[in-house]
Amino acid sequence: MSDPLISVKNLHTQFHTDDGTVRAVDGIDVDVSRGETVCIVGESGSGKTVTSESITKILQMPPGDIPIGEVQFRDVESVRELADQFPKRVFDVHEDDAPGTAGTDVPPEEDRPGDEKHFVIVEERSGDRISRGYIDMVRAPDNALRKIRGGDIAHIFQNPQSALNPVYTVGWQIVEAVQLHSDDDDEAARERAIDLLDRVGIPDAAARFDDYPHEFSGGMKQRVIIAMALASNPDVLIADEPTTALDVTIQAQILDLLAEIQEDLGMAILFITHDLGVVAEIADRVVVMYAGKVMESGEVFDLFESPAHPYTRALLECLPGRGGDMVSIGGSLPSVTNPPDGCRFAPRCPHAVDDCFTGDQPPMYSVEGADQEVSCVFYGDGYDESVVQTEFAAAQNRTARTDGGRTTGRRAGTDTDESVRSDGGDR
Amino acid sequence: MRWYVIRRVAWAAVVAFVILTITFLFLEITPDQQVAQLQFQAAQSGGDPEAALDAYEQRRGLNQPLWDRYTEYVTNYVQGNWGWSDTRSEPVLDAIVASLPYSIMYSAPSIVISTVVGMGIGLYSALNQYTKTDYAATFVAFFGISIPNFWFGIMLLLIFGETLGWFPIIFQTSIADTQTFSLANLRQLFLPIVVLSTGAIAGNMRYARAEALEYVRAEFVKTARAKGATGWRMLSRHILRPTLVPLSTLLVGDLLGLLLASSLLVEVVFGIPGVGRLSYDAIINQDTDLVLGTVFIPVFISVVGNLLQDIAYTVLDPRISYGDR
Amino acid sequence: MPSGNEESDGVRQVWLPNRRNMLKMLGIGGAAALAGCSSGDPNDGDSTGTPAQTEDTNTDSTEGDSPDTSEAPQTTTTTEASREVSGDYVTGRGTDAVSLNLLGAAAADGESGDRIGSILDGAYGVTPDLEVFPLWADISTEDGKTYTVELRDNLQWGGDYGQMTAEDWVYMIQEVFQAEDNWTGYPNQSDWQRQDEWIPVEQTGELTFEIQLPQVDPAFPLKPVMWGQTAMPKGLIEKYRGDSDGEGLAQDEDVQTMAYAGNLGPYSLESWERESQFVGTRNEDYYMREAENVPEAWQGAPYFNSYTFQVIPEQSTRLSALRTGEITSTGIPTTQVQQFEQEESVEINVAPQAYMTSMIYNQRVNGNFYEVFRQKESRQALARAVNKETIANDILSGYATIAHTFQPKFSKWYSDETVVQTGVGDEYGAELAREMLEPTLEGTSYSYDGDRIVDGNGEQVTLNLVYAQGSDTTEDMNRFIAQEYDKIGLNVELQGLQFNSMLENYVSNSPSNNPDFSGEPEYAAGPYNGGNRDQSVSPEQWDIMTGIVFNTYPRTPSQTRDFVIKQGGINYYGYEPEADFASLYEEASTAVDESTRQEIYAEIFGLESEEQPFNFLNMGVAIGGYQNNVQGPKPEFGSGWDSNIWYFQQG
Repeated sequence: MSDPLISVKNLHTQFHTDDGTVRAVDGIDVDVSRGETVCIVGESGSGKTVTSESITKILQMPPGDIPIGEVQFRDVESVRELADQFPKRVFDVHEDDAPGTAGTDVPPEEDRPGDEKHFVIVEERSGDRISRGYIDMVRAPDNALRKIRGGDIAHIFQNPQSALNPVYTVGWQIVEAVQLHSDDDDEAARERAIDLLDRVGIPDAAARFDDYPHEFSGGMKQRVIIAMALASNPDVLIADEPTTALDVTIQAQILDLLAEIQEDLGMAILFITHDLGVVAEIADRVVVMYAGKVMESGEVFDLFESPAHPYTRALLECLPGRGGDMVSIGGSLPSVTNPPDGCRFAPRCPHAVDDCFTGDQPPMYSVEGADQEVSCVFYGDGYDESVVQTEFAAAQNRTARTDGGRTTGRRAGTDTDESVRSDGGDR
Repeated sequence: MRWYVIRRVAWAAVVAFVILTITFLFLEITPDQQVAQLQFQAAQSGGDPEAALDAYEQRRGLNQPLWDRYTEYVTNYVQGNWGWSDTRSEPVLDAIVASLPYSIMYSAPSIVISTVVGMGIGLYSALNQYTKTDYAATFVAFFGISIPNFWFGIMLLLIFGETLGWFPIIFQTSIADTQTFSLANLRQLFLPIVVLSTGAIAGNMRYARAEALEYVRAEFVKTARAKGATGWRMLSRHILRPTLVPLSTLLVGDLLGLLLASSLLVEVVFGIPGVGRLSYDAIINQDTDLVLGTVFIPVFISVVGNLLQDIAYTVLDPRISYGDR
Repeated sequence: MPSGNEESDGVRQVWLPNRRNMLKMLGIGGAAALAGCSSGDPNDGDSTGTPAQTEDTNTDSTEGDSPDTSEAPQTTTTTEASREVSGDYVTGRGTDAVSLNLLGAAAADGESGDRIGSILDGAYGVTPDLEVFPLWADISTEDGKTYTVELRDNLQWGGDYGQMTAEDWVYMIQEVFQAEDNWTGYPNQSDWQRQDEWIPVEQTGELTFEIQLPQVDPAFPLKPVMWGQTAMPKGLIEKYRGDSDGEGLAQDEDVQTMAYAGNLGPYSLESWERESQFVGTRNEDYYMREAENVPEAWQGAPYFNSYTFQVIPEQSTRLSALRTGEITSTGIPTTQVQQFEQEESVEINVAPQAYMTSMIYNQRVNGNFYEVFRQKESRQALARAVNKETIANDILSGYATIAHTFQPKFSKWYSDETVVQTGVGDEYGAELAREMLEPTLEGTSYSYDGDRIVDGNGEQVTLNLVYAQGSDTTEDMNRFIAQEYDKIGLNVELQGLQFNSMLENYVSNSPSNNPDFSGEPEYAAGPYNGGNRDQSVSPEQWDIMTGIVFNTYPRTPSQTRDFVIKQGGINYYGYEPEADFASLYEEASTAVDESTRQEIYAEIFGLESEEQPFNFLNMGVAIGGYQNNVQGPKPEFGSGWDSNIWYFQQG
């Protein structure tokens, strides 16, 4: 299919706190196509987790809130189902029924009549059947989302220790996942659950069905969680740093498992991580986020071979074993409640010029000769991109202050004082 | 598991026995107030205070040596003879058995109400933290706990009993005995139940709320949500169930309360001849046998209650194992 | 509650028998003149010696009604045959009875006594005019030394205990009241002794027995020895006598259910729910129905279908129940009387009591001011310092009668002529008090410095006033006293205590508490008078005490003796009289002629008002609230003696 399965468009997610409104995700676009693995990379605080939770709206709302943005989910089956279930909330882009009429774009939000209520957008029909359309997850009500959550889009989380309810057996929890989206009776559900446990590599699955989470090791727990996520053969699996809390060998096993399952089921994976090593291994496409915005996105090989954005370069150089000594990026994250004008990364970028500090985050420019897009002024008109295509560390050193403190000439707008290392560690 | 239970029950008996002994000793040490009064009376009327003292001691059996009294009392207890209450003129066991039903009649409903309502409000508040309903519920609950019970009871009696005439002022034990489940009995129990419930709801509510809050944000609740669980399902299956583990301490306590709870103040204000007054009067009048009886039962039952609580824990939380206790 | 006296109300009186009365007792002679005979009898009224009534001293909680059945014949009430049996009487009480064992615990407990009294009449009653009213028996004497008690012939015990005979009585007296080992724990054994010897009691006939006092005591019938005395059948007592099994007797089912009550009382015990209700139902066999020579009203008694004691511990609830009509009567505290006067459905009856509230001075050597307190003139001065009218009329809202001596005004032994008034009118004033006081301070280590009294070191004198905590009025009164004393230059500090604690630490005294004394004490008269005032002291120091209320025994004034003689058993404050009270009391109690007695007592009480052993403040009243259809309560001392014939007004 040409349309991506999930299309995040201009997503803004905020949290209203006593200290102000935290703009965790400040306008990003992400696409995930069927069967592909997209990795969202970034350091702690970049907004990647919030993004993943915004897709199915499982974040706490209040205090969370999505004031602007759309998340398009294009599984035709689901669209049809929800259209039937919520007929009043269907918006037909075309009034006439001409079959095969294609491609008129959906009018922008402001023009849609009464668009607050509509969340099933139909773009094409063949006869009465919907042939193209999407569900706007942002505007969908909870009872619609419930079908999608777990049924079409599944999640797995970072900390397997706490992701399972300690007072129920793993079998019970998987059965629950199964029965929430099917009419299976207890027997059938149990069968399926054991099957799943087996599928994810739990030895002696039938016996382990009745065990409690605390009777499993960390890696096993994560497998159980994966089993739970697969219960209804979802189209997308959103994995939020699932291997971060595991040791490296287990990590490898889990990644293998995911790859296997992806192949079997043709499932798309949206993988959140800060670990570039993992990205290299499993990603088809990569999205680099920083301070709530996308810095760069593109095909994995292209991105690794020739990183376009200075931040991406810096991240890659931070990897141990690549580049020279350990490098850290000086400076700190911008204020989350009051982000500065211009490019978010500008205060820490050695190449930054005046244009970098004004206006909005630069738009995503295409990179020549590669399947990449980058948000950097140097890729726009009138700039020479080769300037930024140099070693980050070297560039950083050149512009460093002699006293080793913060690099000069940078806009205020940073409010934390820690330098950030991008080699992993806790989120 | 069986051995564990048996061991614990036996331990319960030991603890109860120890407490009884301590109570007995305390009673021995406490100076007897009635003696002074009696002697004074005698002196005033020109009688002989010493003789009055002797008569009193003899009547109460206080002129026997300490050890004799102690052993006598222990053997009696074991045989089920819990002594004779001098101030009630009936066997201690009779006195307790007679007063217990009245206490249960008003305490059981109020415990049920305060537990259910309290926990319900608490859970609701946890899920809807900082909304107006949350604040309102908290206010009501704290109002209930802050108002002194006896004042509240008197006020309710004056307003609803005397002025409006909706409820009787006097508690008629005859109605309670013969028509226990009738409307008439409910009428005379209504106000005491209200007084007690309002006081207890707040405690239950805050505790439930605090515990539930811990779980509302829990990771596994997020997992459940991601699975597509409804709010209701999340609440009852995923939040309530783990919350029950710490809450069980409160619940088991409440269940025991169903058996034993009584509020002296409520009984005094409403004139209900329950266990509260029985215990209190026994202590004030130094009716030794009765004091020991009214101490024994709650002690024993609460020790057993601790046991039940532990068992509940192991049942509710699979992570806890009792094997190595 | 101040003092430890409980009330079983009822006035008792001796009635010198004469032939006519004897005949009446035996059922011979005209029934006429019943109404008038008792009052007009010229021989009546040898009413020396009041029974040592233990009365409920806290006026706040006294119940105005007293269902005690020992009553005297009606004086002027016309017996109304129009009384109908109707309704259920419910009296509201704050506490329950302790026991129904009248040979043991119940004998000292007022609430128990009241309940028993509704089931058993007792030997005889006494009217407010101090006349004996025969119930089960009549009592008479020829010489004032030997008393004959004669039982009616129709008294039947319940169960199989047969008829009540003199044998039952003699057995009970000798084997219980006079038992050396006191196996039942009877608290009043000393009633049956004179000078440490048991009073001889002898059966003289099937229904008669004699009490042989060693000395003449015309007041004997008015003492709570035979007055209102109830009984148990010999058949029941002897079951336990052999083993001296007092416990067994107390726990006997017949005792607990009063199965032996038979026709002996107006009500039969139906049920006793502890701490809740004691219910008696009308006794169809009540012996009074068949009795002869009783006022007509008594023959139809009682006039309630049932009589219930309802225990309601909380006062406000009790009063509430009175207002809604759920109870028929209860006592009303002085602070609430005004409110109840507004209630249409409730009538208030205020009956004078014989309990006196006083201010006691500590004249023992551990006081701070004993030197001064020991001087009669100083005490007289101090009596002018406290305004009794304010206390009675303001603090107690008028529900008290001012007292000046150790007798109530309504007593026949009180004479206005001999009694000196203090603390009222012209005999009150700070100036006056100070004028009188100052000269008496010479010779003591105290003196006036400016307007404060200072001690030998020039330090201001501070007196410690201890009191038994009770009602609000108690607190108010004490603060008032402190104020009054402040005006004459004395600092007073208040210290409130539990009554029992006060008894133990401030009233009881013994030479062992006195570090400055060792050796043999001069005398010992009991725990409340352990020796003379320089030797025996209380464990704690005190100067003034309030909150203990004394019975002034208006029926048997000889019992007030111990308060004012040096070795009196109740003289815990260390008072030593100047007047020879000991001899005077002796004279009075042995005088045979009533008017002589009256003269002597008048003199005694006059002297007491002069001597001021302590400051007599006021006599309390019992305030009872009754539903307005209750006929019977009277605003007189002893109201309630005839409660057996009270009734509900119809229509």
